[in-house]
Amino acid sequence: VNPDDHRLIADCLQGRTAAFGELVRRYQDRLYHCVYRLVDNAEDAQDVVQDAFLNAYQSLDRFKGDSQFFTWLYRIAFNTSISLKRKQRVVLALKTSRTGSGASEPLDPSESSRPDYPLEKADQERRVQRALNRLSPEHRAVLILKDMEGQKYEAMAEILQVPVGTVRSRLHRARLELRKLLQREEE
Amino acid sequence: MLSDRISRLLTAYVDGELTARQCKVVARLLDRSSEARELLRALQNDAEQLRSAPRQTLGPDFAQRVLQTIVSRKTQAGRRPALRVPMYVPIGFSLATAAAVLLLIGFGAYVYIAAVDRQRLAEIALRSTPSTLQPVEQSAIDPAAIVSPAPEPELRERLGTPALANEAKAAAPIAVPSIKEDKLSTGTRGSLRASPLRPESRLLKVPDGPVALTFNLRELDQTTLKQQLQKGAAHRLDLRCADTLTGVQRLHSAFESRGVRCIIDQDARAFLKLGMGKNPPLALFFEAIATNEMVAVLQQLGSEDRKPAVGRRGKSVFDILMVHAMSREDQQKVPWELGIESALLDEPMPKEQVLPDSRKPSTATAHEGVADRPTGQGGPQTEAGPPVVENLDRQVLVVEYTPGRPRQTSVELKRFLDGRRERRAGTVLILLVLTPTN
Repeated sequence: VNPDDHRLIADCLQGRTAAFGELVRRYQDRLYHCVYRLVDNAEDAQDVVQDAFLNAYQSLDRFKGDSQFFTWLYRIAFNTSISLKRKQRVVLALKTSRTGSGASEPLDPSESSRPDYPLEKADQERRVQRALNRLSPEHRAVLILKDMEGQKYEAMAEILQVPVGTVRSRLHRARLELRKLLQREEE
Repeated sequence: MLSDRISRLLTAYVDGELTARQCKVVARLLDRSSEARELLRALQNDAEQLRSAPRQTLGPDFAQRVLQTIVSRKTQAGRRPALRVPMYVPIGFSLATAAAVLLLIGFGAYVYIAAVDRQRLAEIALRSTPSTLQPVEQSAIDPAAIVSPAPEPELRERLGTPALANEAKAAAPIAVPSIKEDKLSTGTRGSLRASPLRPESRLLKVPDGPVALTFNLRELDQTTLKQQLQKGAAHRLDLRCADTLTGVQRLHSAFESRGVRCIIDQDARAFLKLGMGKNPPLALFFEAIATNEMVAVLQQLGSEDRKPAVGRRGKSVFDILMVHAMSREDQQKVPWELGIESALLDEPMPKEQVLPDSRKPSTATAHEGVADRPTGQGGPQTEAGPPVVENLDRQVLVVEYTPGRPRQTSVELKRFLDGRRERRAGTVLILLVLTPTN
């Protein structure tokens, strides 16, 4: 565990609520980004992240420190998100516009200087998110953890509480399925 | 068509989770199969699209919202709520649960009845012999500053305030306005009991409105807090404390040193004197206090809390401070929160009073006024006898925080009501609630 996290957790357990505020500030955006991609709804994502933090706060004594605090937090948030998606069983429509400070930097400056670049980029993002929404929550979760968070199989297995082999095969199926969906979108 | 084994190798290659040997196999495969190359390129492109999705962020106030929820739900770190009872349970278990619930209701009723009589018990405890009193720390609250119903000099000597006792003996009392017994007679008590307060709503509650600001008291931003307090006429401050009794003692000392009269109601006084092994929530009610003064006191407490080995067992006492601006409705609920008949606080406040010369002999009731005076605030002692203007509007009422429970019109409460003066410009109403963290 990150020594800073360890200190903050110890402070929380001694009754210093403010220390937990520091932990929230440290991880809120990283967690929110992933959960948002998973549930594809800003309000749901905020609720899930808040619930995850509250559950984590209540269960802090169960955190033994043998994994990263963030991994543990992920586990709580992902389980909540997957349950939520299973309950909803509805594919939520993608928001027509997505603006904000979180926009990623374009990889190629020359490409980004084209006048139609922002439109293309937004269109591409919509297609990817739409395809992602059609995957099962489990497949979506492995893709997000791998491609957006860059997690290793072992960490993913810990977060999702499944064997490493399951993670590998889920990722395999998820990639092929996403490919098919995107191909269909392109056609 | 690529086999399942090959497509698995390719997806694992995109994941970056192949061994060196497997990488060589993939390289050979890509050399000889255009279909494999095409699939790999497509998979890599998909992964890249996911990676380049814009980062979504939460607002800067998100952490505050989480903390507010924690506080409002009275959640504690590492303490999970009780598990839900499963839907299908054996009949024996259901019977046992029903019996337990009945027992719990019986116990609850007992606790409720005991709570109703607690104030009376507290009075009895305070009037008991010195041997029954637990020792009070010198640094703890100064008993002389506690407004007592009949402050006899012997009693004050016993409580360790010889200076004040001598002051009383020297017959130089300061006159205070007499208590308006007609206004706060037993008849009023009767009306208090019959008042439409809601005793069932006794749960501690943080207002539902938005938290204007949340601070860690040890890192208090004076300017921001001051600006916030100046924005409205009334505020509620929720201060989390590891130990509310130590917390209120520190607040008392800080306000006392600034000449603010602290009037501690009998229930809170009993806790402060005897401890009773409790960590009760307490409320400090300032009907009119200068924002500068409030900010300065909080800043002082925060800096004291930063010092090493402060508080009980070397731990810091204060935690987070939440500031809520009170709406008109919130202000109307203040009497309910304090358990005071709202009509008493609605009465117009008298203007600042001109008192007679404190050096002149006065009536017997003047002796009682000595107890109201905080240490070191003896008032101007002039040679001649011009009128002395007292800052009696600078006062705070300290009570146990039990919203909705009607409070008896104690002597302390009467003194607080008598001490009310017309609000000055630049002052605000503040309800400061100390809530235990555990």
